[in-house]
Amino acid sequence: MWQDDSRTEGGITVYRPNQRHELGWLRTWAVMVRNVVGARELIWQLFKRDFTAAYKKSFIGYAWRFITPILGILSWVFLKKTNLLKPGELDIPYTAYVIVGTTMWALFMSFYGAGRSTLQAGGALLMKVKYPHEAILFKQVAGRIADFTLRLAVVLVVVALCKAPLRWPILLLPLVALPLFFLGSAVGLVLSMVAVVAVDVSQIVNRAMGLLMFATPIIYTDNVKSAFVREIIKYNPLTYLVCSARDIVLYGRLYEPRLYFICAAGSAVLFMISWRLFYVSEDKIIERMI
Amino acid sequence: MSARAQQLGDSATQRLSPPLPDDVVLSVRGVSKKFCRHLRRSMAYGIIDLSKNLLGVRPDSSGLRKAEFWALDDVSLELRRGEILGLIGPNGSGKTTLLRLMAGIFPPDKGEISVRGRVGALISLGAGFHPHMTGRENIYLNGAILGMSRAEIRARFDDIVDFAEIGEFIDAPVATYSSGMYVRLGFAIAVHVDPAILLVDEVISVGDTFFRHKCMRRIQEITAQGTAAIFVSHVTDRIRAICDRGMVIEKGRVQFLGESERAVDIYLRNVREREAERAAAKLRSSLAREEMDLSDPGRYRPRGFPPAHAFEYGPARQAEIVNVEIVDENAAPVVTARINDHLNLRIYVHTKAEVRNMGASFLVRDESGVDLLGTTSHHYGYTVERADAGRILVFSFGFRNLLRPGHYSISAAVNYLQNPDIPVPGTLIHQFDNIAGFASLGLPELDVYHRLYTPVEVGVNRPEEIMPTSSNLQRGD
Repeated sequence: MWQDDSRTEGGITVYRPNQRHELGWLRTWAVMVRNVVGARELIWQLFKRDFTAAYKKSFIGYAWRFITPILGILSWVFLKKTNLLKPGELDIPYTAYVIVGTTMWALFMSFYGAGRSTLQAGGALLMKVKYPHEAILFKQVAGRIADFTLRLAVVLVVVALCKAPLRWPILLLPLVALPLFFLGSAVGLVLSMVAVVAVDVSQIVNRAMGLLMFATPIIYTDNVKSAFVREIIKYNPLTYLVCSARDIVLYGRLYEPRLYFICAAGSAVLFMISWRLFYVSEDKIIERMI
Repeated sequence: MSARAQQLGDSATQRLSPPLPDDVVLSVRGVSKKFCRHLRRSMAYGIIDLSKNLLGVRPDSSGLRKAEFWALDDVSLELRRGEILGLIGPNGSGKTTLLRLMAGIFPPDKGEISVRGRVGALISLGAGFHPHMTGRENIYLNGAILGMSRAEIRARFDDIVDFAEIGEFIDAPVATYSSGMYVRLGFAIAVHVDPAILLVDEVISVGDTFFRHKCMRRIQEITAQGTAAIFVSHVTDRIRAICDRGMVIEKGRVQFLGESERAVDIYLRNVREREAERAAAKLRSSLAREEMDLSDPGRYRPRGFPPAHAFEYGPARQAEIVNVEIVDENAAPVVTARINDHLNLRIYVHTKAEVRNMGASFLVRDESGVDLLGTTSHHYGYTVERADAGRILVFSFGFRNLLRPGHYSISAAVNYLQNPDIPVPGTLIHQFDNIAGFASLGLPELDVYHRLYTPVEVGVNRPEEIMPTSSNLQRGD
């Protein structure tokens, strides 16, 4: 059974008002990490349920996990053929550039989505059973990473077909993409709580997140003609985080390393703040989910 | 507990109330919980609380803000190892909220709850079941949600399947299960968690009778081994039959905590008092109206008749029931009755047209809808050959209350016979189910666990003293 370290002593669990505020920040994180580690079996079971149950009724089943990214790639290939896109100067095939870039963007959005749906994915269960809710975030993230991995495999095949070179630093991708997890789930976790009490705000942010892609040099390059657009992408932290994840695959290097590291550190801090906020607030939010 | 946890909890230790005595597994001390009546305002408070948390301000939850109310107010109780406590109260009195607080799902706003060991909450069965996954997969999933490790689940897997009586369906998706199988599997997993405290929220009322009995037996087994349990139920017999103590909760406050028999009596009295108050208020308001024409059938129809909880049947073309009341020997309205008390049920019928061969009938039902007694006036020769239009007739049925303690509802009907020589079936004119009710309080000196209390003559004799039966004689040959 779940033992909440912060509340349990000598086998006796105590519940008090605003108890989670009693813990300092560092302890909060320690407790949360322990909760997640303690819930690994639950995370695995829930992940397995979501992953295998999604296509149980479908005849082609897992094939869907490849069909979706393939269709995404085809749409870019088609758009390129129309000559509608003027992405700016590029030294590698545009198709490779754009599908790797959008894949990394999708990874960020799926971390955001994972955080954003933490409480909602818990759903009715939250009111009926006590279990560490941090687990839901990680179960969601695990699901998104699984989808991403399949999508990346398809993308890499296409990249190889485009004759763009693949280099060993691609193995660093998990590390380079970590800040995307921090930033995406930080914003998502807060939004997950906001969505319960302030539906309008969360809707607005949700829409805005969708538009952010266009403020990031993914489908165009950073030497795009418009000075206005260049100014925007300069102040968008996602530029450095997403483009570095893309460039580590395509060029084997980071995009603006100094700024990348600053943004990465900022994301990590933001994640810690967001996590703590989730920890102290979630129980009061959940009781408003009735 | 490990040194690490000691260290982690040190700031909390100083604020801790006196430690739990060894045999106490649950202690609730002065616990209050507030909710908000208005949805939008509730959301606004949520935003305010969240913003405060973001700024690092520690909220104070001990006071009420506008539109908030105490769903639980200063509740205290202690539960010892192996003890079973019944929790009774009307809908919305805070029973489920209290369970959720004890399970750690909601935090308290005031007071403190201490729990020794695991809490198993049967607030809903099969929480998190995925319909497309097999029973086997769902056991592992549900077990993980309840906090069991894979090894623990594996060790109990066969017991769970046996208990749930799922058989070869274990490898079929649970979507294909009957609702009974679904609930059985959920219950089986929940009781195999081996909790120190089991919280049961009316979930056992689902499933068939055999399984219900099996569940109760299993709960009694594990409480005999030291697990404590808290039961929420409207079915007062169950509280009486299995609980050591009962707690009556009214509008979030503890009204009574003690002997379960007394708790049930107090709860039933509350129920009836509330209904009596409502009836008295109706009577007052109808008396306050100006004097009525004596021939007006409306005179006999109390205000608010039929009550909202009644179910109406029949065309009511020739006649209608305008009032049903239960009175005692002094014609005073009956709210509660002891066993052996004499009750008189009166059915007021207003004829709208001429009716031939008219009669009335009644039924008394228990809480689970079982018809316990009743009859029709035709059986007793009371068939009104001809009733003119515009009359009021009062059928009365006198009987002694032999019903075990509980809440009983009355159905009343008026009908006529196609052929006056055959008393049944009558053709229905008008009927109300659940039109009136009363609570049987039992006898203070006698426990009645059976549906009906029937006086029994008891004797002990040697075989030669009793009248031999034919089978005895045959065997003797």
